[in-house]
Amino acid sequence: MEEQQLNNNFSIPRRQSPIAIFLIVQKLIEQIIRQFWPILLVVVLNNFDFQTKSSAANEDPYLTRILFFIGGLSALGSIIAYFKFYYYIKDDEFIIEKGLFNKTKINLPFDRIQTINFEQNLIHQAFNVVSLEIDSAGSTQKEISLQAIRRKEAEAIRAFIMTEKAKLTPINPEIETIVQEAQEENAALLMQLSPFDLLKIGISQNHIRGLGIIMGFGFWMFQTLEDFFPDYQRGDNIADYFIKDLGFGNILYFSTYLIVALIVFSVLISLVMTVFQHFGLAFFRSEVGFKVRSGLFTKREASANINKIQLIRWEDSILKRLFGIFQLGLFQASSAAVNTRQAISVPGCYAHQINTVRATYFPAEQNLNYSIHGISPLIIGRRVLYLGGIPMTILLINAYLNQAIPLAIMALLWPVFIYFTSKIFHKNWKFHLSEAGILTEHGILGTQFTLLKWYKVQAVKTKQSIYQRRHEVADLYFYTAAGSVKIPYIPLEKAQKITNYVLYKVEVDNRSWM
Amino acid sequence: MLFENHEIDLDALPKIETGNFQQLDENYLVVRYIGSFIFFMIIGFGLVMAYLLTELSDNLNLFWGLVAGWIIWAIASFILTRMSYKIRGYQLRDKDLIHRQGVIFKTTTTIPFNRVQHCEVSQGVIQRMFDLHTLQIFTAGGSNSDLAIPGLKADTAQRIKDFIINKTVESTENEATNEITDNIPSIHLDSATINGGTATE
Repeated sequence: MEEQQLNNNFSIPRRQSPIAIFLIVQKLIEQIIRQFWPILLVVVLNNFDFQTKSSAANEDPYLTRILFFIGGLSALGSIIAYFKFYYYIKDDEFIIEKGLFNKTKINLPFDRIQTINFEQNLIHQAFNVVSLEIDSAGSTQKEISLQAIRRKEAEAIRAFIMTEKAKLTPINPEIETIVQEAQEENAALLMQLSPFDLLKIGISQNHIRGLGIIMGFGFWMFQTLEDFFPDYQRGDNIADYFIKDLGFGNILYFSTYLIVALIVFSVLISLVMTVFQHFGLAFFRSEVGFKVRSGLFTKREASANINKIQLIRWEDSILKRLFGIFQLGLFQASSAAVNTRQAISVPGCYAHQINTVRATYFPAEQNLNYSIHGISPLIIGRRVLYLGGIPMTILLINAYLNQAIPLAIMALLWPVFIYFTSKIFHKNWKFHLSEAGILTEHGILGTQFTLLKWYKVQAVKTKQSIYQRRHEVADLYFYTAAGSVKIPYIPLEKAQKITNYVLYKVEVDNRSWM
Repeated sequence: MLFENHEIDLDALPKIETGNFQQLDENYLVVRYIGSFIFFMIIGFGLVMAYLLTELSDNLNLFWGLVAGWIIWAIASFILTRMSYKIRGYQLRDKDLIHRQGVIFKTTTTIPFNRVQHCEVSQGVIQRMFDLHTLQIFTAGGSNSDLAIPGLKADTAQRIKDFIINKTVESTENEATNEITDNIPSIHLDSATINGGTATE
């Protein structure tokens, strides 16, 4: 009954929770600090008297006044923005009105709404509010986000929109019951990550990203703070600058320590990031789709409606295979291209959980007869030519110019390495065809699987280079509203037959695909 | 579950490889030539300015090298333009639109009408001189599978657009009634039919 009351009220324009003011101010301050932090640092360092350890000594009164002025202005702006921001629901549309001088009105019809997501950071959690993000599909990109509204209200809005949306598209009675069940929120817990799982995921992450962050941060720090290094001249080699004081003998020790430290730090960063991102991750299966809730400081909740999911992908790597876990991605229709935000990602799933997701996305899959196909071995030669030959040529020229024999040997061994990995690549590339969908698997060390139902396809493409035309092979692409599937180097005739078949399947199918 | 489930021969399906592709209007080739001509004139102007204003005039070898590069690039571009015009075309079918293009990478893209989000007819500056239009077809979620067919006469572009929009509306109505779904004939998709009876691996 209480919910009914809430629903009726949605037609009256209302403001967000007052917490939104703080959040807008917080966002502004974050932005200012992010852009101007070197200036702020310089100001603080210049004003800070190191002798007396106090900043009062030689403060610049103008600067302080300017800072206060900017601060006051942005606070005022935030308050106005808050009071001039209304949202309401009218005629099956979610409407936002905002702005003081520049009034904006955004209408988002329910049938355009793709996903409704909640997010909670620390402030949100303290006041039991959530930020609400509503995403739509189509080329006219529309996105609505509310900074802060009460959690109950957010849930009521989501339930209301989902129910109304379902009414709009008259579908078979089966789905009616699904909607009713969804309202009761009887989501079944599929999996929950334990701290031990988190450890496994953290260790088996791709550590190159962590390494990149360290290096990037190092260079960025150094460049921004260049002014504080007394004798550093712009253009000097950074390494030279540090080596100068170290002495040549120490460099070997130094670099060994550096490499070990880099590896340890990369793994640590991956671990910490995994914990931040996926702490307490819970993966639910509701009657209408899937829901993922996770995060240590910033709690994120993302949901995917089963109808919106276009394709699912899961992959392992050497380390992941050791632990028996897969990374799972559910790709759903969204306005932006292949927005990572729109892909629900579960970093660590065991095989049986993958099977549950597969069975939900593709219930008929178990009863299908898949026929297994490989790709043309011509791809090996092409990979050796492009991935092996081009780097080899560049390296060889380099080696010749520098008279470096080890480099020349490396250059010559590179295509051999590419040849063997390409052989594995070719051997591992398999696609399974059935009457209702396709499953592809490929990868050299790890394996990536993609499962796609034919009726989700919205365009089919064949692509042939000059070489491929001579050998009558082609790359085949299936595009969906959330990413594409590519099959490289298959006989042209086969590609055409599959194309004809898939087009037929799509064109006779009248189910709603997103 | 009572429904008919006919078996269909894979060879009985409409084939994308056998249909006739409509070429673009012949004036479109002129449009492309003019476009390339303007582009190369700008590059040439840049070369001349570089010769007059910078130290390039001291290094004649480099200058003539650049001029030779400019000529070769321009000739290659004109030849490629001609070849790509010959390849580029579209095939309008009852339920989908096929678009073929590309000299170095030849692609054939098919969009079924029941997956089209919306259509647009637009016109560039040079195209306006010849009263030619571009038909753009948009699908959901990003631009990867969107299509643009240039070099269409005003009424052709408009007629194709109306045709597609009609078909799209039709399919949404069918979606609402949902009546045909149960009658999809099934086709056996075993490796023999897909491989065309010939051993490929």
